[in-house]
Amino acid sequence: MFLSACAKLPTKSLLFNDPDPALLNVWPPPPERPRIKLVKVFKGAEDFLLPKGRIESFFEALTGEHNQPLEFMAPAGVASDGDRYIYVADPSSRLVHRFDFHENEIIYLTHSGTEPLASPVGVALDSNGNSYVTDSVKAKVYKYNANAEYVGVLGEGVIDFQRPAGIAIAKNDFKYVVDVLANKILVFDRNDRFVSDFPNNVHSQDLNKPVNIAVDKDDNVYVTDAFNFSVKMFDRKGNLLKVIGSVGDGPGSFSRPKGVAVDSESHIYIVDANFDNFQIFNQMGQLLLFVGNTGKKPGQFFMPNGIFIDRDDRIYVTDSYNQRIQIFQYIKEQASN
Amino acid sequence: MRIAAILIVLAILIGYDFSEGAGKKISEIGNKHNFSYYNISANYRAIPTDEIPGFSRSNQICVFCHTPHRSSGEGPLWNRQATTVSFFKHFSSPTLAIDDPAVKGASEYGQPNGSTRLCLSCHDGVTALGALFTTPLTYETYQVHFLDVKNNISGPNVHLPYQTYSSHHPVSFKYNIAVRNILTSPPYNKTEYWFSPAPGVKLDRAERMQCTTCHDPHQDKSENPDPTTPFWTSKTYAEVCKSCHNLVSPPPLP
Repeated sequence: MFLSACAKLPTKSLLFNDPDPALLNVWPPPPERPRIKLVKVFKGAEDFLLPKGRIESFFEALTGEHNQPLEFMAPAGVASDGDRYIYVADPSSRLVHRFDFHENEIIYLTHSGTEPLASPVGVALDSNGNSYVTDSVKAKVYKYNANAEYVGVLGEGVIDFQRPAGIAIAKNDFKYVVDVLANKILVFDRNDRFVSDFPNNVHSQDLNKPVNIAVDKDDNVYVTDAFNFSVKMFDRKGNLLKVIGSVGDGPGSFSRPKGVAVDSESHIYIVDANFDNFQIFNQMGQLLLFVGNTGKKPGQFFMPNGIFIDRDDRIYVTDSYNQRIQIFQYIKEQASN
Repeated sequence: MRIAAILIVLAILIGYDFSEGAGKKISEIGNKHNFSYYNISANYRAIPTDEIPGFSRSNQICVFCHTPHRSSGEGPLWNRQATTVSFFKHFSSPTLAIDDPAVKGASEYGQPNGSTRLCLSCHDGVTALGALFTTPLTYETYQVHFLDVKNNISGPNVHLPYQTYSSHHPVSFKYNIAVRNILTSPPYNKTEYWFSPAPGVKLDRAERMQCTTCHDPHQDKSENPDPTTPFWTSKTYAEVCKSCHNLVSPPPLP
């Protein structure tokens, strides 16, 4: 399939200025105080782009260009700057979708230099708009600048990743990358220099096939530990602080824990692909709420995977096999009164 | 009689494999889907310790795919009314869950359903690499057949959205008499679609092809194990294909 690098078509709706009034879903339902509100069901290109104008169609006929926007195949990792961009890693289609809500433009990250991506599963943004994409098959982490131009490989010549997957970037632009097969978290500083990894105790068996990661405002690190059916909380030095959840099918337990994220009040959100929901925990590890069940209606999921929370507590969940992103809003304590 | 009994006991003790040509059983060391800590030959296995709070199942083999009933016993603090929810619906086992009306109702065309969800929940490109072959569009011919059918059958009868990209045989579609009749009748007149299953090849209870139609996640039954056809459900590659394709046209080789 021929892929145009850029599909630039007009649009009228800006993502964050136009919450869909039809979406009245809140969790928990009344009469409880609402904590989570669904604000957008984003199907990607088909929601983003208006039908082409006649002039553009004329030029397309003239030039033979096909600015064919692509739908989501099975989106995995997701990241946003909370204003202009949403990045969606889509390993099944071997590319990362970048939606630019200022320029009304979709760009597809498909290559690292001349090499095509093989399995982009994770994506994260630093404060300068650079994006970092983890490729689980190429076993590399690729960096792109704010113009979505390929820059280079993270840790090149220093770190040999075995299978990078989840990636999170802290407020100080330190990068935290999960290596699934190495059972490690690798940390890089704001200049992309390798700093450390953890757990680093030789006898440590803290992690077994970790898959996803989040960092909170205090630089505590949360790691989805797939083969232990839990999320582990570490401090910035890599000391294990807490274990949340275990295998089981009741509230507070996990079957296939995937993405993890933290909101501004340090609540911990964990997606489960088998339960078709995400569960929210407090810092004590107590279950606060679960959101979603199986289905394709707004607020329902079909094997959700990635989750990201932006600076305004908007929660982006990749609803993989509904082939969409669902965006929720966390309603703070004071805001709801 | 006594000698026979002794021989049987000896055979069990030394782990003789009565099913000639088959791979290790799920309960045996060497089966890659045996994730218990004692399966020392596998890269993927549990941690041999009970020191990790809340996790003491490292010697169990079923728990990694078949989630056991277990609840924290506490309701969510933000929703006290949800205390009635004791267990989440999930695909704990293909023989238990897929016929649940709620699950069926939600498993519409275009989405993986039934036991295939269990496979994809780990084979997602992260925990385990996806079922990705490296030759896209190999099945173009077959794709056209299925696309044609799609326009004539509503509901969850066929499924192929991932085929274009993974070049994998489509899964999670119904393959019952009605579907085959359409395929072999005008305007298609296809002759290669039938169903004469080889031993081990089976559709699920809803007559759907799933990953488990060709792959047995518990044991590789192939005579010549091949990494491109892992956990094969029958002795040879071809007899699995021939269950549905009568080879008037070439089988969909990777």
